[in-house]
Amino acid sequence: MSEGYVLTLEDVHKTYPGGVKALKGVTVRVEKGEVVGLVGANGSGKSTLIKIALGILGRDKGSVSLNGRDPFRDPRAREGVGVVFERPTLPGGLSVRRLLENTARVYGVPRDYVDEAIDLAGLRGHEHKTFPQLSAGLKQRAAIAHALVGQPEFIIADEPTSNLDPIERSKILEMLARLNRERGVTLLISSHVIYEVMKVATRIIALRRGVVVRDGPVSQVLASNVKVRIRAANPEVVAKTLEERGFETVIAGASVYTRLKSDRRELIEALLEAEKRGALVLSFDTAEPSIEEVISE
Amino acid sequence: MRQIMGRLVTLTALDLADTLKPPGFDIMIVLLAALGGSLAVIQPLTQGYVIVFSVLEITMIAITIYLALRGAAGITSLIESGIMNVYLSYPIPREGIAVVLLISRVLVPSILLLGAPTLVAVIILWRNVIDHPLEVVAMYSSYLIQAFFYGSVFALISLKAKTPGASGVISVAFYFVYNVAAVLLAHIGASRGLEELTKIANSMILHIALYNMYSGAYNLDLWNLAFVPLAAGLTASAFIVYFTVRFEP
Repeated sequence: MSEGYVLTLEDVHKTYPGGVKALKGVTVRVEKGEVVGLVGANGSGKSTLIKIALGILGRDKGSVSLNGRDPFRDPRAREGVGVVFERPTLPGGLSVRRLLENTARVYGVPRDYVDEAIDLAGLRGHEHKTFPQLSAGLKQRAAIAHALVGQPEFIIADEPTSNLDPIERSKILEMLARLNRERGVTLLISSHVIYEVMKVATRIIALRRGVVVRDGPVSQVLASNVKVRIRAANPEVVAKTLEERGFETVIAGASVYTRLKSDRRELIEALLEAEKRGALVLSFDTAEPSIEEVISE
Repeated sequence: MRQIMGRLVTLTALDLADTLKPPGFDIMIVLLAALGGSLAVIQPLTQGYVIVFSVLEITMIAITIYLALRGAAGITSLIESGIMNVYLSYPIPREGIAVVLLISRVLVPSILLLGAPTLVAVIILWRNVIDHPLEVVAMYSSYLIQAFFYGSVFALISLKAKTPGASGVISVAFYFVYNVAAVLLAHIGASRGLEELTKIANSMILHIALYNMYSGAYNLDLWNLAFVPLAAGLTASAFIVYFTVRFEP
């Protein structure tokens, strides 16, 4: 394992029976203390990557190291790793509290952590119900409590906010971010909603059809994809000035659409130049890109 | 090692809570115990091995179907629901999880479901079995090993089946085909006077072989009694090896 990395996947290939190539030479590294957002459309290979990282699935080619060990062969690789799966499912024969107590025993941590996990996940008051008795949001919270109960140093969360309403989504993400800030827990969070991951991630890895198409700090990945709408009294002058400076533009009514380059000062200077040429810029606003736009190039 | 053992015991308890959860198992065990009691009262037999045989021969069908539909198909349910992913995400060796599944989905239900009617029959007819406790234990064990063999085959099927329903249906089909094959071989052997063929048929069902041995119907060789335990061991090993090396949920 490279020093400082909790997870490395090197040139990992995975083909499912039936010939579906889920991963085609994926290389991913997660450093200790990072919050990495794994984004991609449905079917891009995010869940496969996570399952291979945990040793739940084998790989056809390449190497995987979790905590310095091969997770498919050595279960010790999963020590201190909490997992939230895409569809939150936990054994339903016991109350959530009893289940968490058993999980604490599996991870070899004291039972005291059960209460802490219940509080952190916001499950207080519902811990005596069985998993099937919980609502969708509470099931997600139970799955998060289950991931937290082992006092993990690394949490892998596959679509942790799916099936939740917007307020619940924000709360869950904020809770995960707090774990990173206050306890230094490393996070790998997958989602197909990029603006959600952006709220907590320091780095984005974008997958498209089993290939990593973007890997870098959030600002870097998004910079070239931020859409800008400029409303102007004479949009043709604005568009021409922008095009002279290398921006691609589209005029739609009184608006000019373009994409922000890595340095936003260039855009501002171009708009000032357009005003000098007689354009009247009324307003401009930016919109974060969709997942399709991030992975499109 | 001690830590891993502790984790395996915990996971076994966790999985057993799912396997044995009511309603289903509790009703089944009460019904089988009642059936055991009824059979013991209707046929107040005097010999230990005959008592166990008469009680478990009928209940074995129900138990095997239960093992197929609830036990082994439960493994397919674990895969389908995603709980298997949770098990596999624990820091527990894969072979350990395979053993846990065999214990909680096959062995423990078999012990309890076969044990309940046997226990009731033994309590009712205790005066008749007190002099031959080994016969009772041997017959009970033969049913248990036979059930474990079926359960291991069902568990192996469950890893490849796409749905719990398919897993249950294929498992039940295997059970009937296996038993029909044993009966056919026995009939052919008897009608043609081929004792070896009859022995092969009997050795496919351990409790029949043991019953014949106790009753003196056939002179059985060691392999006749070893066939099912060996098959059970091989199937269970195949399940563990497949789960460890190849299985992907």
